[in-house]
Amino acid sequence: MREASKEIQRINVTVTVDGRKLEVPEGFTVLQASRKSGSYIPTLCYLDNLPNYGGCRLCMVEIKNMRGFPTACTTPVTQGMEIITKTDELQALRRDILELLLTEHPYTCLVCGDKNDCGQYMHSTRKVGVTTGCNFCTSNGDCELQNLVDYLELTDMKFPISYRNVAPVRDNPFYELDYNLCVLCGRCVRICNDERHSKVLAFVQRGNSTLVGTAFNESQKDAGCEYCGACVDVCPTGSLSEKMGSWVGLPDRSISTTCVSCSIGCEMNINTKGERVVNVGPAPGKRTDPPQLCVRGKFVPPDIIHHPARITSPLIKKENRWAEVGWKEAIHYSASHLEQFRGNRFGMIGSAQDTIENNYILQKFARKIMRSNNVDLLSSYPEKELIKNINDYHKVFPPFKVNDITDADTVFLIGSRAYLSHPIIENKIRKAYSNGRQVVAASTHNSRTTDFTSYHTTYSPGGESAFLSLLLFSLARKTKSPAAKEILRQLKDLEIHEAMARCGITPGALKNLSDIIFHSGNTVIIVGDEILRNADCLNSFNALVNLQLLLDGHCRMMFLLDEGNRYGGTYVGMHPYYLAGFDELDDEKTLKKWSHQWQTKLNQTPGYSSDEMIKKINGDGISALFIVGDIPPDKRLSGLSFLVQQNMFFTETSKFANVFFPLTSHFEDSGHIMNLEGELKKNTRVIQPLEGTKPVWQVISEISDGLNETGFNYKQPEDIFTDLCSLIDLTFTSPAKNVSKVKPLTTRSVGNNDLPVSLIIEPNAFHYFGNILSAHIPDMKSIRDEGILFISALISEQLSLIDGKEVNIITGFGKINTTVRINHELEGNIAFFRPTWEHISSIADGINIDQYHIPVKIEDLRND
Amino acid sequence: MNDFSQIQREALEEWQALQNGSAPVVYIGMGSCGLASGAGQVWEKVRKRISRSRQKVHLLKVGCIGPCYLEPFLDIKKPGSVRLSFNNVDPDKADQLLKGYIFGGETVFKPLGHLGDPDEHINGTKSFWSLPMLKNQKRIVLRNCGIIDPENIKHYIARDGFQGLINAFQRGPENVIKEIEIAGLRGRGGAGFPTYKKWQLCRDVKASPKYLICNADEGDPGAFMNRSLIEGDPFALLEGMMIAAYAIGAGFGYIYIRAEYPLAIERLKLAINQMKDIGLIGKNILDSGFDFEIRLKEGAGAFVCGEETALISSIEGNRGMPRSRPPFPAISGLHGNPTTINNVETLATIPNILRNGGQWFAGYGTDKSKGTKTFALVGKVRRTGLIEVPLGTTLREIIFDIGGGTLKPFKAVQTGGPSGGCLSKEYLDLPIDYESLTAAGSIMGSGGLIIMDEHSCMVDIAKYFLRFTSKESCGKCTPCRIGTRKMVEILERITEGNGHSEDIAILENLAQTVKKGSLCGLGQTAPNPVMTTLRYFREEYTAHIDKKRCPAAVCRDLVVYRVIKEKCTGCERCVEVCPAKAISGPRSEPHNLDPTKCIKCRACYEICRFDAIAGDAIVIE
Repeated sequence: MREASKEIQRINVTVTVDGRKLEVPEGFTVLQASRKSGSYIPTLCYLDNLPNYGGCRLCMVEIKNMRGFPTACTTPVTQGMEIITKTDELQALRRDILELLLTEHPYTCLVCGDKNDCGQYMHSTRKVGVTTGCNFCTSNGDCELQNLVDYLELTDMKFPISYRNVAPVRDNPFYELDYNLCVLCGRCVRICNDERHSKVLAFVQRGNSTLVGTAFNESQKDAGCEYCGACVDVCPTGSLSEKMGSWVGLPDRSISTTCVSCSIGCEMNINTKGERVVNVGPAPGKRTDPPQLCVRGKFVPPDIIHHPARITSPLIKKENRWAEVGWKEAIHYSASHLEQFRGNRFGMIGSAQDTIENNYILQKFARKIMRSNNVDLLSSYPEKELIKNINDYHKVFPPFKVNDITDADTVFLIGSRAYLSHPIIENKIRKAYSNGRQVVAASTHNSRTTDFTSYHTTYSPGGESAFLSLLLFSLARKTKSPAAKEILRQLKDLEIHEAMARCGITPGALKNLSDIIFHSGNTVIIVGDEILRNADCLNSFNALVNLQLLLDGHCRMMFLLDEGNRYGGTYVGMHPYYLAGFDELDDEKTLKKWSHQWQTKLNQTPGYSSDEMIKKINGDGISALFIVGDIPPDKRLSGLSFLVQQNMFFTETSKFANVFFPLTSHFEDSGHIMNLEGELKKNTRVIQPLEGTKPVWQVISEISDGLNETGFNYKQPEDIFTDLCSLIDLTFTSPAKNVSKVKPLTTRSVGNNDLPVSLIIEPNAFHYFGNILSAHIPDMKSIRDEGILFISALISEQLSLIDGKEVNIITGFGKINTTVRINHELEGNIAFFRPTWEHISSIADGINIDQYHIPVKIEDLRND
Repeated sequence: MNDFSQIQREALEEWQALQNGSAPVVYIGMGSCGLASGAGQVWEKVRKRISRSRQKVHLLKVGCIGPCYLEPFLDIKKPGSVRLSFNNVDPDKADQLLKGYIFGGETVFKPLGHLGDPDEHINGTKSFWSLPMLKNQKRIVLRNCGIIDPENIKHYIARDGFQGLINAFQRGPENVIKEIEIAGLRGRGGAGFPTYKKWQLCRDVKASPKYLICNADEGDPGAFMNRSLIEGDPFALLEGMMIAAYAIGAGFGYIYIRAEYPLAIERLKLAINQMKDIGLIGKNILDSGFDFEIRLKEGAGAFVCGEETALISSIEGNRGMPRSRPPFPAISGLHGNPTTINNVETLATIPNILRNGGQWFAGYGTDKSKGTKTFALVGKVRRTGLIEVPLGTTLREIIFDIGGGTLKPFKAVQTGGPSGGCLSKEYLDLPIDYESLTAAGSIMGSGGLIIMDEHSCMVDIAKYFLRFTSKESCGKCTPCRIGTRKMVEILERITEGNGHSEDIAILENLAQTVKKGSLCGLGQTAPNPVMTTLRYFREEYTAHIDKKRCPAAVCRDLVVYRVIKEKCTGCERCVEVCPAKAISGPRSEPHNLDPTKCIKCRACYEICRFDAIAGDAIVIE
C-alpha cells in the first residue's frame, strides 16, 4: 500500500499559476503549487505539517471552471488547472475578510497610520489601553496579523471591535492563554489533536461565542495537558505566549542545539536576545520548524539558565563555614586535597546529561591522575553490563531512527513509560496508531498510552522476564525453524504455570499477544524502563534478543535509555568496568593502548558504580568524591574526607561538600552527545557562560595543571573531541561480533508478605544535571503531582483510604510521609509515586532505586 | 422471494379486513401536529370508550394528513360505509362522535369530508380530497401519510410497499440509476443536484465500504416536511434508502436525525425492527444477494449539522464543523469512504419512481424541475399545513388557492428558510422550481414557506433569520462567524432607530463578502434574507433609517401606540389586558393611553383588532 502511494506521488500534473505553467506532483494543493511558482497567497490558518483547515478564508483564489472562490490551502490541483492568485476583486475580498477578522482582535494599533514610528517616538496621544495595543503585545514584530495588514494594505476599519473581555487563563506554570487576542485560526487545536494527540484544546461554544478551550472548562492540567507547548509555537498572534521571556522582546539570534533531557536528543532551537534566552521553539516567523519538543525542552531551559539561585562563585568550606573564593584559590585548594586521595579511595560521579567531551575528560582524570576506576554516571542501571549488551546488540543491528517508528507495521511496547520519559517517542507511537498502524503494549499498568494501543496486556511488577520467557516460548512453538528449536531446547526447564503465576498473565492474553506479534509484518519493539531498570534486566534482554532472532529480520529493537547522554557517556568510558569504546580493563591489548596514549600505567581493579561508591563510603572504602551535577543527599556522604561538587545550584548534597564549583548550563558549553539512535548530536554554545561559572572540562584541566599533570592541555571542547575521535570509533558502521547467545532464564522472586504493595517509581526524568526541576521551578511539582501516592482502587478499599488521606510509605530502608490519591488506571496491589531526591534518600539503600518498583507497605496514619 | 409473497398476501388480507371487515375502524391523526393539538387525550378517551363498550372496534393511529390547522383529526369508518373525517376533535367531541356513529345515537357533527372516491358526493358529504386545500395537491411522497398505520409494516406492504425495491433488484443497480435519470429527480434538500449524478459518482468510485446517509437534520425554522413524512410513512424512507444503497453499492446506511424529533425516531426504530423481523434488513435481502444494515444517529441540535460534511463529522463523533470540498463525500466521506447523502424526501420519492417508472414521475412538474415537492405552509396564512404540489405550481396557487390567503394583505413569502429569501407580491406568479427561485434571489430549500402579511416588518424578519444563522454558525470560517454577527449588529441598530445612511451600503458589501467568502452553504446563503429584503423591500429599510419609522409597526423602538378617539367604543377590553395600566377611561367613552407608561407589548392592539365593533381603534405610529 505504501509503495503504491509513493508511486502516485511521482505523477506530475501541469497547472498554470498566474499565467505561468509548471509541473507539480499530484496531491499538491493549489497553495503549494502557487508557492512553488513564486506567487504569494496570504494565509493565516494554514501551517505546514498541519491538516488543512480552510477557516480563515484569506487564501481564496480564482480557478477557471470552478464556482466561487475556492481556498488554495484545501483545493487539490488537477491536470490543466488554471489558477489566478491575485485580482482586485480577490484582494478586496481578502481585505474585507481580514477586516472582519480584526474586529475580534484589538486592532487600533494595527491600522494606525503612525504605527511604524510609534514605538520610537510615541508622538500621538495613546488611543488604546497599554495592554490592548500592538506595541505592547508579546508578539509585536512576530505577529502574522501585522504582516497581513501590511500586505493587504488595510488602513481603515468600518466596524467597532467586539472585545471578548475574557480573563486570561493562567492556570499553568509555563504559558498564558489570552483569548482576547485569539483569531480562531485553529492551529493550536489542530496541533494539540492531530499532531501531539494530547486532545486537550478544542473549540467550545458556537457562532459568535466560539472559543478555544477545554472540554467542560476544565483546567489545562485536568484536561490532560502535557505542557508540550506546541500550541504556543504555532499561535500566529500573542494569544498564547510563554510566561518566561514574553516581555524580553524579539529574539535577535536563533541557534540550534540538542536537548539532553532524554536520550532522543531532539533538535532544539534557542532564540536569544543578547545573552538572554527568550524562548525555545521555532525561530521567529517559522512556526513548526524545528518540530515541537516536550515540556522539558520547551519551557525548562530559560527557567534554569536565568535562574536567580545559580551560583556564580566557587565556594570552600573552612571550619564548617562556606566562603566565596576566587577560582584560582578554589582550584589550588581542591588540587592539594585531591592529591591525598589517589587510588581506589577516589570516586567520580558524572552526569548522564553531560557531553561526551566532559565525561571523557572526567574519567581520564580519575583514571590517569587519580588512578581510580571508580567512575560512573549518576543512577546507572542495576546491571553494569546492560549498556555494554545494548551496545553489542547495536553493533550487529544498528539502531533505527525515532522517525521510523511511524513507518512500522506494528509497534510493540514492552514496559514502556515513554509518555513520562520519552514524550516524543510517545508522540510517534500515537501517530503510528492514528495512522492505522498496529500498536501492541505490555506493561504493569494502564496509562494514557493504552488509549493508543490496539491491544494491551498487563503483567505483575517483577514478572517481566517470566512474561518474556512465556512469550518467547509461545512464539517458538509456532514455527519449526532451527532458531525456534534452539529456544525451545533452552526453555525446556521453564515451569509454565509457575511463570504464569509470577507474571500474572492469562493463557488467553498470552495467546492473543503471541498471535499478533507472530503475524505482524515489519515490527518495532520499544523496550522501556520496566525492562531496563530491573534487577532481572539481562535475562529480559536476552529473551528479547532471542525473540528478535526468532522473528527473523522483520523486527528491530529500540531501548529507551534514560537521560540525554547515558549511552554516549558510557561509550567514552564513564563506566567502572570499561574504558572508552567499551575497551575492557583486563584486556592486555587495550590496556596497553590506553596506557600508551595516556602515558601512564592504568589501575586494573574494576571500579564501583555510583550506587556502590556511596555504600562504600568509610575509612578504607571511598573517602573522596568528585560529583558533577546533583545526586540524592545521602547521609553517608558525611563520612567522606573530601567532596568536590560542581553544580549550578547549591543543594542539600552540597552541604556535605568541601569545595563547590559553579557549573555552566549545557547551553553555555559545547560538545556532543550520543542519543539512542547511536548518533552523535552537536551541542552548540548558545550564550556565553554566566560570569563566574566554568564548564567541567575547564575545571578538570585547571585542577590537572594544579597537580602538575600533563595530558589535559585542552583549550576548548573541540580539542577533546579531536583527541577522542583519534582514539575510538564513534560510529555504528562496522558490524562486530554476534550477539551473545541466550542463557537459561531465571526469574527473581518478588513479593513480600510484610511489604505487600508494589510501588512503581516514575523514571525521574524531570531533573537537569541531577537537579530536581521542581526544586527550582516550584510549579513543576503541582503539575506533575510529585510526592503524591497514587493507589489502586483495591488498595484504597483494603486500607479504607480516600483521596487526600495522609499515609506513610514504608520500605525496607525507611519511610516517606505523603498523601494518597486513587487512580483507576492502576489495578491490583500497585501504587505509583513520583519521588524527589529527598524521597529517594529516605527509602533507598544508596542513591539509586535499582528496580522501577519496590515492595512497600502503606500505613494509614490514623493508626498511629 | 416466496416468503415475501406470503407476507404480501397476509398484509393484503389484513388491509382488506380493515377496509371491508365487519368491525368499525377509528383513525386518529397522531403526528406531532396532532399530538400538539391534543390528539393524545382524544386517543385515551376513545380507547377507554371502546374498551367499555365491549364492541369490536379497530383503533388506529395514523400520521399527519396535511391540513395541520384542522388537527386533531378523527376518522371513522363503519362497515359498508366510506371513511369519514372529522376535524378539530377534542375528547368530548370524540366521545359524541363515537356515540353518534358507532354505538348508535344522534349524529351531531358534520364530517369534513370522506376519504372515498374523490369525485363522488356520498350522503351529502364532499370528498376530503376535494377540499380547497387538497384539491390542487398531488400526493406522491405523502401518499400513505394519514392513511396507514405508520407502526405497522403490513399496511405499507398492502399498499404496494417494497414493490419499488423488488423492481430495483430485478433491474440491477445501473438501470436503477437510469430510471432516476429519466425521472429527473433532483435533491429535495434544497440545492437541487440531480440525484442520479450523485449516485453515479459514488457508484463509480472503486473503494469499499460505501455509505449511504439520510439527512434528516431538518433545522429550518418553520419547516417540518421531513418530520411529518417520517412520522406518517417511515417505511417509504427506508425503502428509498435501500434502493439508493443498492444502486451505489453501499452496505451500510445512517439516518442522521435531530434528537428534537422523538416521535419520528421512535417510529423509525419500530419500522427498522419490523423490517429486520421479516428479513428486509440484514443479509441477502429477498434473495438478491444484497446486504444492508441501518443505524440511527441522533443529532445534538446544531443547525450546521445539516451541511453534509459537518453531518459526516458529527457521525464520526467529532464537532460538527464543515470542511472544504473537494474532495466531495462521494469520493471521501464518512471515515474517508465514498458516501452519498440524500435528503429524506428525495429518498422517500425513490420507491414511487421505481414502482411507477421514471416517465410517470417526469410527467409532473416542469421541464427542468420534475415531479412533486412537499412544502410546510406556515405563517400568516389561513390554512397552514403540509402540502405536496407538482413543481412549477405558482406561489399564488399555493398561498391563495391552497393556503386560503392571508388575513391582512399579503406582503411577502420566505422560501427556503433562513438560507432562502423573501419574495414580494410581484413574484406571486413565479412558478416554484429550482431555477426560477434562484433567479429571484431565493432558493428552493427544503420546503419551508413562511407567509408574511402587512404586519410583518421585513427588516425585523431579516434580523430574525440573521440572528439564527449567526448563532448557528459553527465558528470555523471568518466571514460566517463574524460577518453574520456584524450584519446582525447593523440590523439591530436599524431596528432600534440608530441606523446610519451608509448602513445599507455596508450591509450590501458585507452580504457579498459573507456570500463569496464562507466555507459552507450555511454561510454562503446566510445573507439571502438581507439581500432579498433589500432588493424587494428597500423602502422599509430607508423608512427605518431616515424616518425612524417601522411601517409594519413591529420594531418596538420605532412605534408609538395611541387610541383613535373616533373609533374607540370604550369597551374597556384593552384596559383589562394592559399589564402596565397605561390605558384608562370610563366605560363607553374613548379611552386614554399614557405613552409614558406604555411598554409597547402590543396586547391592546391585538385584543382590539379582534373586536368586531371597534375595528382598528388602536393604531401604532
